[in-house]
Amino acid sequence: MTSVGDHPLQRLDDVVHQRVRLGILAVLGKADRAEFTYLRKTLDLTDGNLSRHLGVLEQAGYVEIHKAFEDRKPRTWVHATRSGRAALAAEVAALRELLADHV
Amino acid sequence: MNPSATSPREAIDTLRHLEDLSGQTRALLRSFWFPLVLFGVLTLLSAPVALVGEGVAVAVYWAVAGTAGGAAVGWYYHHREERLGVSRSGVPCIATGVALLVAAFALPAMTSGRLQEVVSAFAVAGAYLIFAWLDRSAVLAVLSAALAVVPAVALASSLEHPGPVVAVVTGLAILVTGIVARRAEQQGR
Repeated sequence: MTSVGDHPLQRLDDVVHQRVRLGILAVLGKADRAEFTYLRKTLDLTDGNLSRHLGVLEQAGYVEIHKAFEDRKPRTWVHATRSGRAALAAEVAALRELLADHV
Repeated sequence: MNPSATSPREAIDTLRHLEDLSGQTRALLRSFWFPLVLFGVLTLLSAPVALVGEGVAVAVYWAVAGTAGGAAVGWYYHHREERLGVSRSGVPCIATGVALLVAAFALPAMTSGRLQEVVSAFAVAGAYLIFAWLDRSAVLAVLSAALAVVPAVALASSLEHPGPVVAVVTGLAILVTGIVARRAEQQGR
């Protein structure tokens, strides 16, 4: 039984505990890096919406964003940092614990 | 989502959503038909070398073909992942390939007779087992088991020179698995 002070809800990270941002980290958790366009299509987002969420994750140090020109086309690659992967793992663990407490 | 208001229903939905996204990306990145077809063909081509040449000829063949094949596989994955817009680290696969190349040269030097002709095939089976684990692939795990059986059966038989036969059967098994994987990938799209 979880004590009140150690309730899983208290361990949920405000930055990560958001459907889109969790989705970004879930994709990056299985890949070394993903391109902006891939994330936009996979998560069914607009450019502006994805940019906003990536900005939040970047500011928290959970992702790194690299812009480059490849074959004269601008490409933006996103990579999850170690703390980003850890934040995703902690969020998933907290959600599972929350479910276990309700069984 | 508000953390303090997360309900069990919401937690279930979120976890499912994350699993779907992870699975989608994993499935997209999982593609192993090209290296299987390439190394299946290279293994088949090594059979005549093993038939007419000495162990040194086979070693030279694999030093050239293995390195060139590895480079071709690296090129293939690089371009595929650039096209898809998602990539994963190739370091574990490269490390396995290099370890296989080293083992394939070292093991024959440490053995003799009929075992010397087929011992590298056990190393190949071991490498495919690692690839299966890296890719979480049941197909590659079954292939790995089959590849380990081939040299074992050849050693148990009365074949005087099992090397070429093992090369042909191993090459065919890898090639056929690659062709089947290619079709499965095409149908999965």
